[in-house]
Amino acid sequence: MDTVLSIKGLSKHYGKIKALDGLNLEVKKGNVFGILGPNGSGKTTTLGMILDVINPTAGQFEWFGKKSGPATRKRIGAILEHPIFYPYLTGRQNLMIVCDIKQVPYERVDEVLLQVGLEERKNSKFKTYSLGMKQRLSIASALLCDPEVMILDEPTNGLDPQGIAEIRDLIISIANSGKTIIIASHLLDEVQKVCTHFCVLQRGKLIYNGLVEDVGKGNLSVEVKADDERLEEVLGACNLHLEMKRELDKYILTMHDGYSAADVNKYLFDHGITAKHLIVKTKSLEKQFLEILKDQEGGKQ
Amino acid sequence: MIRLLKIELKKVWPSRAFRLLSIMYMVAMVIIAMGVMPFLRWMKSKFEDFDLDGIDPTIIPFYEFPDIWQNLTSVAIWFKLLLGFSLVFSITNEFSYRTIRQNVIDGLSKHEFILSKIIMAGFLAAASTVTLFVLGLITGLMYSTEISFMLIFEDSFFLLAFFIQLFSFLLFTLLIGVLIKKSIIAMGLLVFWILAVENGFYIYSQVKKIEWIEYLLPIKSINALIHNPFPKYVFMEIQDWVALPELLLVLGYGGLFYWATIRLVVKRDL
Repeated sequence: MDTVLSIKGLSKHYGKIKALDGLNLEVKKGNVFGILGPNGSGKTTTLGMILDVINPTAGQFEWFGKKSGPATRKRIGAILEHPIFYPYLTGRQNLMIVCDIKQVPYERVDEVLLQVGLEERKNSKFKTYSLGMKQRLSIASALLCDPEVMILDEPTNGLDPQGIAEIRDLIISIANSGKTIIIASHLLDEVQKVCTHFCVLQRGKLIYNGLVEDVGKGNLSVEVKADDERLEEVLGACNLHLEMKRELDKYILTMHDGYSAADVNKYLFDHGITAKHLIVKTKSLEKQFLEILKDQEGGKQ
Repeated sequence: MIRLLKIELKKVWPSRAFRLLSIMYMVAMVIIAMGVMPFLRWMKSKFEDFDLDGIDPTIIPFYEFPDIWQNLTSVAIWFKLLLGFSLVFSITNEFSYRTIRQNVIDGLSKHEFILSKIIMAGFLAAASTVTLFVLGLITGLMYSTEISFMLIFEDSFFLLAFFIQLFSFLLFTLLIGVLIKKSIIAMGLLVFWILAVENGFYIYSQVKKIEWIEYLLPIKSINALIHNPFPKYVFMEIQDWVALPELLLVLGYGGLFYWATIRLVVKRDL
């Protein structure tokens, strides 16, 4: 697979503060790459540097195997932080300026406005738009040049649930068309739903880099509820699980390798208990993320 | 270059503040170019009311070719601040809306970005010069007693000097805008610098008779490129040409502002 972006030893220091410290990263063509991290972990600084708005203290990066410059940026559609446009211009006028900058024909403006569902309001001034419309306009702007790579920084920030769902569908449909997407976010649910790869930054350092599909792997956990006083005792006595935890009226079992919810069900039934609630829980990215951060903190001490 | 100017015009023209300031500037130019003769006539009628028939201000040959060029340019340059404000407004807006950052992300280099503003400054200066030329032609042809091709164009180099004055001044306002980034503070600083700082130093240099201080004041130097022609109407001697050292000084300041403005933008994190 072709490498779209490769970052080597990228750093940004503000005096003593290391906003980013020696980042190495590769993004391949077709990846939907999530950059995770708490607030202030260096996500936006990283994106700012690979887009040439922040001068790096040290390190290099390459786009499409070339040194970065205005020409490479014209092949990228990017939004950093909140949508930025001229408030006194209409959505259409704003996009026409982007066309001039990216040297794209004006016909694209109406096409992308249609794609993000803004054609009705294209002649209203940007300052009259709702937050969701502003986000959609910025995605339209990123799509103008039919980019090979899209960079989105917190694309659903401040949106209502419906808006979040709309943007997510939009991102998935763009990803399905084979584009490479890089998303920075602290909304893990978001990343898990759309990304193929993810990395975790903390205090300017890369602490994890891997596949989203690997997240669910590892030990299975099963949630059990039953109207029987013996439940705790019976479950405690079995040797199917590594660990058992009680949360209000339910018990969460972390299973040994090779055992599943069916084994739990059979075991309980054999002991004369009928479970009224039996759920297999796949590990969420959120849980994994918190574990990664915790390991990191632990490792430091 | 055309692409950058096109981008810039698309940005600023729909802006109400920009349009208002440039229209005010244009109107001011038309008024001073067209209004002198009616004003002199009005003065004459007032003098007549006071039985001072002997004095006729309308014989002042303000619009006479070729003197008209120095007369017009030396008055028109007073209004440069209106144009300067519109430019300060456009550059500081880019910082407060953060559109400069988005422009760079979209594929403009920082250098191209600031160049588009500089080209706009050149465009405004050129447009003002052309307007002044047209106004001068019209009023000159109306009021001049003697008209010939030679006379009309004889001192038209003042128009070029006017362009250089205005362009250098606009580069100065761009530098202030890039430096301060906030529109109101930048405009305030501009007025404070021109009225208080430069005049303060100027008066000090006059009192202490230290002439070289004058040359360290960019706006004074720019203003001094075209000398005030009006004392000649009371038979005093004036400089009715553009002196090379003064021209070089203004070009030097223009070059300095150009370099500093570009450097500031390119070196800075956005």
